[in-house]
Amino acid sequence: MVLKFESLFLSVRRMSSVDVTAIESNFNRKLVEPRQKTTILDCGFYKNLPASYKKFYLEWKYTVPKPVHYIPKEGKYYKNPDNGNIEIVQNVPIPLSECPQESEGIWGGEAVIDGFVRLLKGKHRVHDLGPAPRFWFPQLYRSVIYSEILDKYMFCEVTKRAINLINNHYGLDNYLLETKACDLRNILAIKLKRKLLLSLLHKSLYPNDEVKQEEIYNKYKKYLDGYTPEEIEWFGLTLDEAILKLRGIMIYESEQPKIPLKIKFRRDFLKELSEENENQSTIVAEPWYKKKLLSFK
Amino acid sequence: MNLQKLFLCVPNLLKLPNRTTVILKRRVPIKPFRKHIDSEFIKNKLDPLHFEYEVVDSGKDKQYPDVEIILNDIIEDVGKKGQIVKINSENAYEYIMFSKAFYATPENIAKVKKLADSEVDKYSSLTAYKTMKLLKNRVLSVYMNMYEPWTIEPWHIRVNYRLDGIQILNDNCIELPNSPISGPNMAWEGKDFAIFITINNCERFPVRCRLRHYTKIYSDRIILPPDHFCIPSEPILPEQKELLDSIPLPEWHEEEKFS
Repeated sequence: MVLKFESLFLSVRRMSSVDVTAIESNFNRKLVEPRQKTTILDCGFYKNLPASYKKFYLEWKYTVPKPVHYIPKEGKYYKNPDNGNIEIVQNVPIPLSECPQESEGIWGGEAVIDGFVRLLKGKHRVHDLGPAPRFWFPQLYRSVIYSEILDKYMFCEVTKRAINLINNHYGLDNYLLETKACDLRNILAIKLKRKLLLSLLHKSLYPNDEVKQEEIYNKYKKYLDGYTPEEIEWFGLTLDEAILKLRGIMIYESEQPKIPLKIKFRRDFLKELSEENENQSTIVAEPWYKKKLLSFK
Repeated sequence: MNLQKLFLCVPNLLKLPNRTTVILKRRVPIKPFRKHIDSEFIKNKLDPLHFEYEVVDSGKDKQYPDVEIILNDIIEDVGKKGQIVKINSENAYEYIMFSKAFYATPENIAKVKKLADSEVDKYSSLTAYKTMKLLKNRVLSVYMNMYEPWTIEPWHIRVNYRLDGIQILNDNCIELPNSPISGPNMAWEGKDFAIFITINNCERFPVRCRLRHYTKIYSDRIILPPDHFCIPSEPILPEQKELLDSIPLPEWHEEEKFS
């Protein structure tokens, strides 16, 4: 009896522990984890794009960038001064609008904001005239930027914030390679980052000077760890460019003669056997087919 | 392409109004959502009331913090080679573009320390280069008496420098030409001679002087044109002709006459 009770007790405890963890996990998932949403990449022809491009596109368009035009609140909870309630802190970013001039410069995360201002008039009695539309623009000036990997001086429009960020990162190359695509925001900066990554991957920097090539390659080598070679080739393309590239690949594959799987598997199997034979011949003197024969038993 | 030409296309930064990022605040705060925030959420779920903003900081009087750099060459009013200085971020960026300086990363600091120990600096002090440039570019007009006899001595030149706004503390730094100049001689009026000046017993350079005759009697005074120090003239001593030709005359800008 005692044994039975113990076993029951244990089973109950085990059951309860399992249930509690399951409930907790479900509860947390509802609060914290986002629902799997359908993006533009999940429908139509965009579905065929490779995962390495989808990773970049989600980083560029579907992540929340660092705060630029607002000051975020710190901490988890705060006390509302109006009613004394304790509420959750949730920083909703100010939406930024796009404009064609954005693609010509490096603005350091700044952008045009379109919104409203509430107009209030009168000294003694306040007249509410309602919301009036208003735009806030970043201030630009022309300057020169220099990249050490490309060994090139370039002429473009920048903001003061961008130059401050370049100074804080000790140079343009470090700034571009360390920051995410959503924080860079401008397409010129993203294209430059693509060029830097490609030249590091193919080691095509400083083709005439070999000493300088190794010095600078070792300096910026650490940034290649975050990407695979396939991801770098798809990095920094717009949606239209990515589709053109994909169509090109599909056409190239369709034009090539198809090899039947029967021949392909046989070729692979023979290659494996030859490799095994080379390895085993040095160590063991047994015939190579002995193992294969044993495996069929 | 030449880097100097690239920077010439850039307008002067001092003429532009300086402004940094604008910082805004919502007039009506959003009620907390128990939901993950996405870009789609911002597009769809916000009310038009949440697009009304108030300006917290217009960014007009804001300035970014200074940047530490290592100088690669001597720069006026900033420092000498191998020195670590903190300056305005935009000026620092311009020096780095012209490779007059580097960023003060820990790797660069270790590199430069070796250089600074081995190399000897060109100039004796920070301001030596600036004073040398200042004295070289101007012509010293030496005012002497029109009627009483004299020969030029170092204190004459010290006094004339004082009239020009420059004070020389010691007469030993002034070096006159070997053959003495004595007068009054009206044939030498407006003609040149050269002297040598040394700073900190280190930098020695020639300076152009121009002889002028002066009296207390107002009617006898010689009236000079405003650009009198820019007009080329002949040397008093024929030995110094080669030396005086090597010293350039200052330029006169006509726009500055009536400004």
